[in-house]
Amino acid sequence: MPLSPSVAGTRADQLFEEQQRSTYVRIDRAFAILMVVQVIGGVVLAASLTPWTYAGSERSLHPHVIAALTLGPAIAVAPILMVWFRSGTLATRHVVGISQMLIGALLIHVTGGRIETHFHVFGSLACLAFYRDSGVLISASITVILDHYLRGTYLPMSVYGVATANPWRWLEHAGWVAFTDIFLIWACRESRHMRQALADQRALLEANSEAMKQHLVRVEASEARSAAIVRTALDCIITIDAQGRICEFNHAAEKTFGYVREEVIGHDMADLIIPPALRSAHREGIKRYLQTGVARVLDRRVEVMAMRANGSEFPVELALTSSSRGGELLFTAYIRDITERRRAESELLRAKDAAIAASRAKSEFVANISHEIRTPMNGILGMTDLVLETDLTARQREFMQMVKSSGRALLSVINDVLDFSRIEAGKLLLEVIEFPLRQTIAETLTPLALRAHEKNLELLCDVHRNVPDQLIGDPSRLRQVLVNLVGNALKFTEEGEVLLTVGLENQNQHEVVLHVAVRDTGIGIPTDKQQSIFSPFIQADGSTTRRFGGTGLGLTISSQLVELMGGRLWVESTEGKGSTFHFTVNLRRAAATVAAAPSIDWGTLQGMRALIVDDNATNRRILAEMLGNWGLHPTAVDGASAANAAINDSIQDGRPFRLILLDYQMPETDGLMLASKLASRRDLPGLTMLLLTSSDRPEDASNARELGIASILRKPVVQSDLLNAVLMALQRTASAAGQIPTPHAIPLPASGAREPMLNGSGVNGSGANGSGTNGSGASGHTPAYVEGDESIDRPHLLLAEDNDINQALAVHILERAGFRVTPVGTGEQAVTASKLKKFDAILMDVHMPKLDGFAATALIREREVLQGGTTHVPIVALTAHAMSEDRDRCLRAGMDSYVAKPFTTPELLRALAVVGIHPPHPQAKAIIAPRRTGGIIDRAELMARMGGDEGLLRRLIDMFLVNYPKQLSELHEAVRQRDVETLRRRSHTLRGALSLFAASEAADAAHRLEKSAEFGGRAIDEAFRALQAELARLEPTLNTLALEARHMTNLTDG
Amino acid sequence: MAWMVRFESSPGAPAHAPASWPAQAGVARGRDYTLVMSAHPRCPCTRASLDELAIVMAASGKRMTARVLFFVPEDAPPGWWETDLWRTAGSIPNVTPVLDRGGTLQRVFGAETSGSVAVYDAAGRLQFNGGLTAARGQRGENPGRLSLISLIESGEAARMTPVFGCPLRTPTARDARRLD
Repeated sequence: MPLSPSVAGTRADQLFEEQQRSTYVRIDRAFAILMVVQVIGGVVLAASLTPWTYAGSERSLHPHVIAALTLGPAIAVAPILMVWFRSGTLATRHVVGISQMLIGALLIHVTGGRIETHFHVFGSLACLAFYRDSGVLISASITVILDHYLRGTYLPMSVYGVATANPWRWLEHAGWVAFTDIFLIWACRESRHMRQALADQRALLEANSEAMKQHLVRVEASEARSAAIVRTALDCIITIDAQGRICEFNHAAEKTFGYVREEVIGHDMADLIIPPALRSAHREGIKRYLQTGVARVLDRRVEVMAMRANGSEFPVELALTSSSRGGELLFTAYIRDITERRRAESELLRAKDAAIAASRAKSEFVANISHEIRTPMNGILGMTDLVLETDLTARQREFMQMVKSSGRALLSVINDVLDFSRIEAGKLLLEVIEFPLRQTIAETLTPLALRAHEKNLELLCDVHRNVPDQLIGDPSRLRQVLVNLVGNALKFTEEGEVLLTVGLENQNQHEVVLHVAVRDTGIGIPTDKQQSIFSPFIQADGSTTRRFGGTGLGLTISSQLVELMGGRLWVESTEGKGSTFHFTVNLRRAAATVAAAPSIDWGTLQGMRALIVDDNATNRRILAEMLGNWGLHPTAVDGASAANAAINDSIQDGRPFRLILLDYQMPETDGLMLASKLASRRDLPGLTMLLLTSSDRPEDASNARELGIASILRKPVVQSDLLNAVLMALQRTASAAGQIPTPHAIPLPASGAREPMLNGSGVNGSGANGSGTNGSGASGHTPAYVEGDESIDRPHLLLAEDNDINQALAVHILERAGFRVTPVGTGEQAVTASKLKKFDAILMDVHMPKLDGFAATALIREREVLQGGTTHVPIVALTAHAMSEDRDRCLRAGMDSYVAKPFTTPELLRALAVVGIHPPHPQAKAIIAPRRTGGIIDRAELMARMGGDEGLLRRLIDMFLVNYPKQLSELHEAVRQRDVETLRRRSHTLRGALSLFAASEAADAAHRLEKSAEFGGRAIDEAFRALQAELARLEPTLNTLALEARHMTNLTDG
Repeated sequence: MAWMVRFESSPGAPAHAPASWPAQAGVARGRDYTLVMSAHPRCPCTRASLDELAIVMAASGKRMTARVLFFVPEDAPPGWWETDLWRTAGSIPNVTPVLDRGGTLQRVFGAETSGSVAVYDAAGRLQFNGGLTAARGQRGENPGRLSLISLIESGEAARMTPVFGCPLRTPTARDARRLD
């Protein structure tokens, strides 16, 4: 590291001072020696020139010699001592200078003032200039000048050699001395400057040298580290020059390739470690890089083959880099033997394949075990139904009901396990469809409300008004979570209420995050168990499994379903006080509503006073909020006495209540009793009463009708149902009183003209067929078919089923429905029987020993093809595989329909209806009759075509909704191009699809378009526009149907 | 130092040369001026006198001849006198070194101090008697040199100057030091 200027300057000064001091010391010593020499020289000179003085023949020592022997040392002793003890000091230098001059004076004197001897003065000055100290020259010169002045004045002969000298001669001598001094002083200064410059340079040099030294140390350390890294690297590091000759070969390379470094250095790498097949490519690569600078393998990792010294080849990972050293291009290869890695990778792949195979086997196992369980379950449930249809004692019926209930519970467990298995395998896919939230919730809570009523619990629902209704997501899975949470709440609550609230957690233009909470007043969950209940097969208390039943999978499945829907599930609970399960779900907003919103005549409701009588505070709050939202002025009270007081007050105020919502189950005076009292009052004309109940007892409906209650609503009340009920009740009341509005003035929701009475409890008795929703409508006590009724042309069915019980069950169901049935127990028998006799349809179990249903179907279809393809016997698969892919597999295998085990009578008959085989007995037909008719789609016809299969309906609708925009686009293009052939073909195809959905008007429009192709011109455009309009009308209806079908499918499955 | 200065600046015994060329001079007199210097061959001070003599001789041209009488003790070994002074004297033009054994001739010319000079004119009259240096061994301009040059040039000169040099006579009161 270079020194800073200040540090360098300090060092330069130090160096300069050191040099000066060294010079002073050396010159001091030189002058000390010179002093001695001069003294000796003086003595020698004196002794040689004037050794003796004579007096005749006598001689004596010459005074000069004596003077040389005495004065010389006297002059020299001081500087010598100074040099000895104070060498290098300023005083020493001056003493030396003065003494040197005195020596000169002595010499001049002893030589008689000879002018030659004066040169000693100049020589001395020159020598003193070695000090490079001007001061010394000056002091010495002053000494000389004083000497000349004094001796010139008093002893001129001593200094000038003449007895009488010019008195200013000293000045001349002084002038010459000064003259000399000028140059010497100048030279001294120059020399000092040069020395200073040298010191500066040397300091700089030292600084640079130090920096260089440190740099060299670092470089050496770095090189040592690099060398150590290269030497000890676990990867092979090989460096080659542009000619491919090896320059570096580390220890790892030696071990890997089997060469010793010394034997490969300088040799062509390609010949040593590259397999022969790759050498030319290697050399070409280097050549191309040198010519173009383009390299394929440079600066990246590649896997190639390498060769050891013994010729064996092995896989390596190679990273090649280029560098320049001293202008020479070098390539460094970092090579790693990946033989082990390759082996590990292949083992990993094998393990992965094995894992996949194991997973597949597991899925197969789950599917198979599901089949194996469902098959006998089918027998159990089916036979139980059949037994229940016979004459039984009360005790026997109770036992059989328990068997049926247990079977259903077991089926639920299997479904849970299947769901869990699908989620664990990541195979559970969510549907993305549009659905009405409130209706979905209402339909979900309806069956649960019955359970709540059985336990005498309040089941309440509060969907906040700012929650949008039309959403896109998976309503069936949302329903599954709700059923689980509300079902749990009902299960673990002995008294009190269960409240479902739906609020808006977050929203933006496209999405909403719903916050759903299910609060109960049940047993609660201990804090330390609140997390573990979300783990599979765990309930808060092991005893609860025995006490309440359940697999312990429900919350796990719900939690994972919620996560799949972008939310989370958590619980807040206080033991003994109840629990609240929260979850959030992320749903998309629907771009358009499925059906147009009802145009409510809000003016009818504005300002109308309404009384809510309910002992449950939560329900009062919910109902008050609903009514308030519609413009009514609600007053909520908790019982009959408070209700009477409020009514009396309202009459006195002159603003009597027009509407009263009565809770049925209230302590002391229940809703019917209160209604009875109110009905008997004459001061309440035009009063409309609605009853809210959890009961579905028919006698309640009858009593309510007699008391003049306009409508009964099952709790929990959904907002839309309540609104419809209120409007219709007010309308009836108004009509009865001769007031407006007329019935047609109140438009009802287009989504299905729902009756406000739910589940057949309406007082006007118009909702009797609503029971078909849970598929239990077939279990009436009247046989659907009377044996021996030969007046009907009964279809003949072939039943292939290896399980005796299931076979007997199916035969029984089918024969009761009026079919003739030929049962067989194997696939071969089915193939043979179908060959010997022409059946109207075949019911084929897919899992049979030896020849299964798929193979048997394939043989039958093959035979039909061989016979010219003119016949096609419908084949209905009987499958226990609940997964949709298994159902698809049935269809792909050539089967025409399917029914999942365990099946109910309606399901079996609907599956046959799908393939056009209908039961001859009218009552049996009623079993599979659709619930609603009319509208854009003839639902009765539609359900007949679907064979009552809601799942099939849903899939077909989904397929149609996905495909028809493309078909319409192609049609549009054909219309634009006047491509008659395409127009005719596409129109025909579309008409077929529309006919399938019993959408007669849309089908007619498609037919008109098909026909218009014959006429051309504007007729085509008009027909196309008409078709577009019909399809636009049809699509919302199809969406609604799909939603309902999904719901029905879930109910049936679960 | 003072002692040395006094030594150097103290003149020797003055010469008392005869007023006319003595008959017992022992050396030949020149045609014009004849200079007779008495010298001790080993007197260091005389070296300066010889140097001054050379200057004077050079200044006189050929009008002056000189004889340098070198004192040689009676018992002096052979060659004792052959010093640089003897050789210097011999090298000066018109100067003739003469051995004066026992100092007989020097006594004739009344010389007591080495460097004493007596100058006689062509008529044999004594024109100058003294020394040619300003101090012992001291070269340089001095009254003796100036007088002689003046004498040659103008015939006028100071007659007497002090003589600086070693005594030519051994002091009688002292024991004679044996010569080497």
